[in-house]
Amino acid sequence: MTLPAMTDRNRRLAALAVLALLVASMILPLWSTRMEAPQYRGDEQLHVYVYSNRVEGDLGELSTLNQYVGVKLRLDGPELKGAPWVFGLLTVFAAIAAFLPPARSRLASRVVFAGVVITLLCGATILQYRLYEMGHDRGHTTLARMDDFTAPILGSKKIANFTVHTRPEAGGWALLVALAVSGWATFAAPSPQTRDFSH
Amino acid sequence: MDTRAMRPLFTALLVVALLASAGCRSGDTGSTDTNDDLASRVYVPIGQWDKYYAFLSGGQSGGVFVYGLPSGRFIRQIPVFEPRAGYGYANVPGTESYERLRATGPTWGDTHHPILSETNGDYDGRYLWINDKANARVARIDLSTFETKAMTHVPNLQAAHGIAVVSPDTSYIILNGEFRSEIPRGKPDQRAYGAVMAFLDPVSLDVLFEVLVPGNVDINDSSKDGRWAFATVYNIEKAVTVEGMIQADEDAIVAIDIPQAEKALESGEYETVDGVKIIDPAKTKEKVLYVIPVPKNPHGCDVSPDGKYVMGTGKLSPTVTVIDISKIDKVDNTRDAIVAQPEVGLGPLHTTFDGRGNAYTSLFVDSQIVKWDIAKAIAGDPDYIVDRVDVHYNVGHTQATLAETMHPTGEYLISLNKLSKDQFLPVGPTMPESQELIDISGEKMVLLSEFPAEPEPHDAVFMRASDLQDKVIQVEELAPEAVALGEDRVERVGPSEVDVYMTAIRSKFGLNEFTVKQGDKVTLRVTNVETIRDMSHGFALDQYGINIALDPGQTREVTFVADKPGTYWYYCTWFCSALHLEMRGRMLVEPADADADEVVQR
Repeated sequence: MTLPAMTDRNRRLAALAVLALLVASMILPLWSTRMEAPQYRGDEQLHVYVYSNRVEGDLGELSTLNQYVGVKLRLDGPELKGAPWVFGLLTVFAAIAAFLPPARSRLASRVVFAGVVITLLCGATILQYRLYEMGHDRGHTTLARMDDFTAPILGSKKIANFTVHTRPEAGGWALLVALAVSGWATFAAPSPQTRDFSH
Repeated sequence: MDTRAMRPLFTALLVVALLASAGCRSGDTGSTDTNDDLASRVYVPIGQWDKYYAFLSGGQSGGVFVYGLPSGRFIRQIPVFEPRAGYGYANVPGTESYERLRATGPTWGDTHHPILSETNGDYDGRYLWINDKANARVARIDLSTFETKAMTHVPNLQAAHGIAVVSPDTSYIILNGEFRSEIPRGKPDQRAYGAVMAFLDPVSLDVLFEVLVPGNVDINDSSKDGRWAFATVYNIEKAVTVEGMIQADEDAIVAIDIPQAEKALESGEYETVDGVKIIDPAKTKEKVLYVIPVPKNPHGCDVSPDGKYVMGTGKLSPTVTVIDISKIDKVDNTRDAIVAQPEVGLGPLHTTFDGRGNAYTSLFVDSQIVKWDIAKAIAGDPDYIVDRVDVHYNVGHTQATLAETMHPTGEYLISLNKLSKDQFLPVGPTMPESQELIDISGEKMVLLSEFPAEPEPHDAVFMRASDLQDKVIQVEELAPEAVALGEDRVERVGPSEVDVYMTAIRSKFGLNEFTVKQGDKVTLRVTNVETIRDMSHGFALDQYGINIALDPGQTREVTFVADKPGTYWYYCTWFCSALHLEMRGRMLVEPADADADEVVQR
């Protein structure tokens, strides 16, 4: 595969795009879960949306239902407090990469790329840990004989009477696209030489 | 003759006779459809909704029954003039519904005619009104919650029978006082007997004025342009016995000219009796009342959807009298406004419409619905009868879908039968009332199905489900006085008065217990803080006769005196969750002689 040549113009456009995508991922929901059951169908399905700094959705109803399931619902984990700083810092570097002269912005764009990679890896790890914790660190007021469970980060799973569907939301997709664009900006050879990764 | 040789022939004849009789029974439906065909036409698949809401009056059950059509599935009862503990309706002193019902009269009612609010001559899905014939009351039900929200007693009338909205925009609710008595009620004096039609504000139910009408005012309706209020009148004789009431050959349909009545009011031509302005048409300079003679003791009074005709249905006469509304104030003799008087059958009681020029009249004595062509009847064409179908048995009201609006759908009609006799499994000498659903979409009527009801629907109205279903709220908005989650508390507000504030949400009450002194007046306010639909909770208290029901989001208050010491569990009566049985708490009533200082308030 041959990446397009990294001209100064392309580098700046890429940096601007990454900046915009990071801002979007700060604002938009990153990930969601949708829960359906015979008595929670159509408009009445339950939703949870995870943002960079908060969790929203049908939390009251989930908390009420949780009396029978007894799962651990962490809606105030330290990651929700830390994430805005991480996103903020990434955005600052993305802005530097976008507005410094291209010759001097290479380091900033590498930091952004690395930051996005780390954010995605850490975010997914923390999310998976929370999902594991939710289904395993259960209180004593649980439904009898209900096995521990781990909801997937992506995909569907039957948990008690609910089928749970999870997927990235707009903010999550923005972060993934930011990863791709900043990867391109970082690894594409500076013009006029073209580095060919297919070899 | 060898009789043994004839046995096979007898047997064959017997079988044929039995088959023939069975065939006659199914032939009553008026169609050649098989039972499977008929069943498929009323079957609503699981999880799907009926096409129509049907609101049936509850008669002496005092409420309104809600069914779905075409399935005939009973959906709920709306309690109005009778307490209904299951819904926490008017069953406990101190609740809003109880106080409102008690303030207007006895705790039972006899509901006859449900009517729906209209805008531009079509149902707008806001309100349903229902009369209480027994106690001269009217109630308004809010269709966003299907709950009774207003109720009033109407002075100066007895037996609040006919009730109608004044079309096309529900400018008034009109209510007939059927029984004549002295006005105002006081020393019995037959010479002072009278009957009125009352005009009410649709929302507040304030009685704006009443008009004196000769005879017994029975059923009513309005013209589609809002000008006329019509009523059938019997007992022009002013008798007080059955025999006396059927002497005259003619009674009447009366037409009240509403703008003229309003003018009479403006010019002060009324007398105030029991706080209500009564217009006596005999004393006004405006011509408020027109009397159109019809055959003796008419009953139904129905205006055609196009607003051209008002029809008086005969009862003792086998006819329907068709009156051209536009002629009423133009002719010298009101008799000349009658444009047809078709014979339809024995005991005609009510007439309804399909919007395609046909009328359908219920025949009480014949136990039939007869379909007839209005234009042909007016033109004198002897071939005006289109079809007849047998119903089971003794039909009173009949009503076609949206027939009271300016745009009937002409799809279904129900026959509200007074007797069901052999139609359902026997459940004692008194059998349920029977409703039969008839498809009127074709030339011939097809009897589709029947469904029973508690005593005793008189009349029905229908709404397209699509016109109402989205207006019905699923979760009530929290009222300002709602108790918030976490703010559950007990407050002693006087030496022997305690206010208790409590929430309910699966699967607990906000207070696991509260303690009061024997003799305390307890005011208990409970809010259901659920946010999803159908998650109702109840609050029932042992030995105190208390059960309140709470829709999601709803707050209700009840007041009682804790006059019995001991432990009294309260529990949730609406099955809500897997821990429903555990959803309870204790009211601890300390004996009166205990030291007040030891009373713990939690």
